[in-house]
Amino acid sequence: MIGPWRVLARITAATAAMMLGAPATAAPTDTAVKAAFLPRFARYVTWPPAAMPKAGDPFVLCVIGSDPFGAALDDAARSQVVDGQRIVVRRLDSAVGSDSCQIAFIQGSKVQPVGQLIAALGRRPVLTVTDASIGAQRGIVHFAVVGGRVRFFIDQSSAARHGLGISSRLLALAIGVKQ
Amino acid sequence: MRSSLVTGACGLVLLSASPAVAVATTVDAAAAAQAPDDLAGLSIEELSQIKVRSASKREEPLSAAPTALYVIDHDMIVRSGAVTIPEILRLAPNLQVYQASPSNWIITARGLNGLPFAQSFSNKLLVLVDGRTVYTPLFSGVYWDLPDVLPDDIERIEVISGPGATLWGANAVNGVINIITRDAGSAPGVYADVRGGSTQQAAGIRVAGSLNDKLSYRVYARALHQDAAHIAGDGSAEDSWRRLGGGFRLDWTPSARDAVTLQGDIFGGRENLPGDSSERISGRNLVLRWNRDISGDEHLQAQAFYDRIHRGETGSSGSFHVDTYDIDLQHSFRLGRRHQLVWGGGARVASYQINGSPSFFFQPGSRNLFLANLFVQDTVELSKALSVTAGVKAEHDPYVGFSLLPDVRVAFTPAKTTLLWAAVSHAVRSPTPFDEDVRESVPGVTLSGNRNFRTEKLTAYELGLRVQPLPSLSFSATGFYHHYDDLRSVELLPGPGLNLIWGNQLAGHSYGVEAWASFKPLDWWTLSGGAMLLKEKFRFKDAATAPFIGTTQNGVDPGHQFTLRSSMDLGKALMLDVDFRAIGKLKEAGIPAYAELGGRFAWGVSDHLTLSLSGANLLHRRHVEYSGGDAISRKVLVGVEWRP
Repeated sequence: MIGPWRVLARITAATAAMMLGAPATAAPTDTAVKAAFLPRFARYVTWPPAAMPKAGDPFVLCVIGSDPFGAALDDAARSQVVDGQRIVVRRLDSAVGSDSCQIAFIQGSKVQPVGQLIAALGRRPVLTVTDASIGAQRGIVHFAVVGGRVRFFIDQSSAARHGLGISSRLLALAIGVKQ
Repeated sequence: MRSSLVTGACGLVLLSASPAVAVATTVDAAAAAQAPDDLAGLSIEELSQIKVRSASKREEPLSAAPTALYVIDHDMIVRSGAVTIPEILRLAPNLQVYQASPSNWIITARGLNGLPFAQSFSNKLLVLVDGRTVYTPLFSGVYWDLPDVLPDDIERIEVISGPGATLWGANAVNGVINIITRDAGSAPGVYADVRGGSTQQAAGIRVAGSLNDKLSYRVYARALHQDAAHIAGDGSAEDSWRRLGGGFRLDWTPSARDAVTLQGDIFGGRENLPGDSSERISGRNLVLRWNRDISGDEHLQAQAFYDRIHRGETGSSGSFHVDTYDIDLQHSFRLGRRHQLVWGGGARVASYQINGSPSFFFQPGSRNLFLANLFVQDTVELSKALSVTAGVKAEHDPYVGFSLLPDVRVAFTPAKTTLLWAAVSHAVRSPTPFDEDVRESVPGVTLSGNRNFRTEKLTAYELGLRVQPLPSLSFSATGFYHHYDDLRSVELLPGPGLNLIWGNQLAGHSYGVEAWASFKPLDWWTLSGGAMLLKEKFRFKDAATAPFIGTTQNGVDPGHQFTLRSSMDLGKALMLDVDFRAIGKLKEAGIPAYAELGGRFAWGVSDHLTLSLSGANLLHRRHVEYSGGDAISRKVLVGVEWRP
C-alpha cells in the first residue's frame, strides 16, 4: 500500500505547485472563439440593401436550434458594431421568425436538424453558419477546428445564391473556398 | 463451448428499433462557452490564430428529454484516459460497470448484474454504436470485447437508465447506451495515438478529410493488447488477449436536404484461456443510413445494417457465429401546432449457428430469428411549460409473438433552467435461444432451456428533476421504482437427479435514486459527482421449485455507488483529471466494498502533440469487482497523441 500512496502524494504535491503558479487563463474553448467570430462576420459580408435592418434597428444574429454559446455570444455581439448599428442575438427554436436574421448560426435539434433548417431558409439573404463538430451539412460558413485553431470553409457560390457578397479578407482566412 | 458462450457475457441487445432519433433533443442551455474578455479586442485574423481547447459542445447539458439521460461527451472521454468502451462507460454515474477479466466486462443500469454460478448474465441493456445494435441475440447480452472504436472518434455517448422500450426496442429494459461517433469530416488530417503500460497497450491511427465539400471520409485502424489478470489468490489468470481492427466512415451530403452515411468495421482477435487453449473472435459490419428533410417540419430516416460476429475456442469446445440483417425506418413530423409525431418500424433477421460441445449445446443449433416492430409516439405541447409524450410499440419476436410496450412521460418546465418529469413505462426482455434451447450438463447436473419461457416484464415508475441554477452548476436526480414479473429462475424438473430447467418464477421490485451534479467553480476547473442508491427485493412465485438457488440469481448488486471527478486546465498546456469511485459490497457474492482512483495528466507539447500519463485502479495492487472475476491490477499508461 505504501507504494501507490507515495506516488499519489507526489502527484498531489506537483499539482499544488502547478496550481499556485498556474495562470488562471486557460486557452479559450473552441466554442468561445466561434462565439467571438460570429458577430465579426457582419463586417466582411455585404447584404442586399433590402435585407439590411432599417435605420435605428439593430443587426440581428440568430442561433437556430440548440444554443452552444450561452452568454458568451451576447457578450461578443455587444462588443461589435456594424456601420453604427449594434448587434443583438436572437434564439429561435425553428426557422419560424428567421426573416429578421442577417446571420444565422444553425446547430439544429433532433426535431429540426441542420439540413432541414438550411433548406427552410432557402435563398433568403441570410449568412448561414454551421459547425463541423455538429454535422456534415454545410452553411455558407462552416466552422472546423484545424491545428488546434478555429477556422472555416466558405461556400461562395451559395453566398451568391443568397445574394451575399464576401470580402476577400474573410475569404483569405478560409481553409477552403467553394467557388 | 464451455460456458464461454455465456461466461463472456454481459449487457444485451436483441430487438432495438429506431436508434438515432430516440434520445430527444438536448438543449445545451447556457452550458459552454465563457468568452474571455481578451477575445473582444482581437481582429478576425488574430481570432483564427488563437489556440483553443476543444471543449465539448455540451459541458453539462440540461436536456429537454424527460428521461434519466446522462451524456458522456468527447472531451470527457479524451480527458479520462480511458482506452476501451467499457472503461469509458465508467464515466456514466447511472451505469454499474464491473471488470471480471481483461476482456470480460459486466455493465448494467439499476442493478441485475447477473450471477455466473446460476448461469445468469446481465441481459437487460440495449447498446448501439452508430445505430447498429451491438448484441448477441443468443442470450441478449453484450460481449464487450467485440465493439471497439477509437475513443477520439466518439462524439458522445448517451446513457439512459430505465426503460426506453417504446422507441428503442424490447431489450431496452433497464437502460440504453447509444454510442455516436463524429462526422467523418470533423477532424481532417492524421491522428495517431499510442498508449502503453504494464497491463495494456493500444495503438490507433486515423486519416480523415474531405474529397470535396459534399463528401468526407475517415479510415482508422487500431491494435489493442491486454495482459493477463490474476486469479483471486495469486498467479496468472492466463487470460491475456489482443485484437486488431479497422474501419471507415463516409459522410455524403448530396443536397441540403440529404445526409448519407456509409460506415463499416472489421476486426479479429485472440483471447488466451487457462491452459493451452484460446478463443478466437472476429466480426465485420456495414451500416448505411440516409436522413432526408422532407420539409421544415418533416424528417425521414432510413437505415440498413449487416453485422457478423464469430467466437470459437480452439479444439472442439464449441463456436458460434451470428449474421444480422436489419432495416429501420423512422418518420417524424408536426401535426397542427401542438403535436410532434414519430412513427416507424423495423425488421431484422438474425441467423446463427452454434457448434456446441457434448456438455454445452443448443437444440436446434442453428436458426433464423425474425423480428419486427412498429411504433408511434406523440409529444403534445399542452402549454408552454407542460408537454406529454405517449407512445406504444408493437414488437414481434419468434418465441412469444407480439408484445405491446407503452410509455407515457410528462415534462414540466416552469423555467428555462428547471425540468421536472415523470414517467410510467412497460418493457420486456424477450426470450432468446439461451432461454429456450440450451442444453448444459456437468456430472450430476443438467440445465435445459424452456420452450414455454415467457418474456421478463418490467413496469417502471420514474420521477426526475434537472436544474441548472447557474451556468456553472447543474444537477439531476431521478427516483425510480421498478416492478418486475416473470424474471428468469432456475427450476427443478421432477424425477431423480438434479435436472434443472429455466422458468419464470421470480418477481419483485427495486427502487432507488440516481443523482449527478457538475460544478465549474473556476474557468479552468470542473468538479462532477454522481451517486446511485439501490434497494432490491425479489420473491419466488407460487410455482417455484428451486428456491434454494436464492432470489439473487438475476444479480447481486451493490446498494450504493459514488463517483467524484475533477478536471483541471493548468495553464494553457497542462491538464489534470482525477476520478474516484466507491462501490458498495456485492453481499451474496462475497465481494467487499471498494474504492478506487484513476486519472490522467497530459501535457500539450505543441498544437499537435500531447504526452500523457494515465492510470486506473491506483489505490490497490489488485482488487476483485465481480463474482468469480479476476483480481484486477493497477494500471499506469504512458501515452503519445498526435492531432491534426
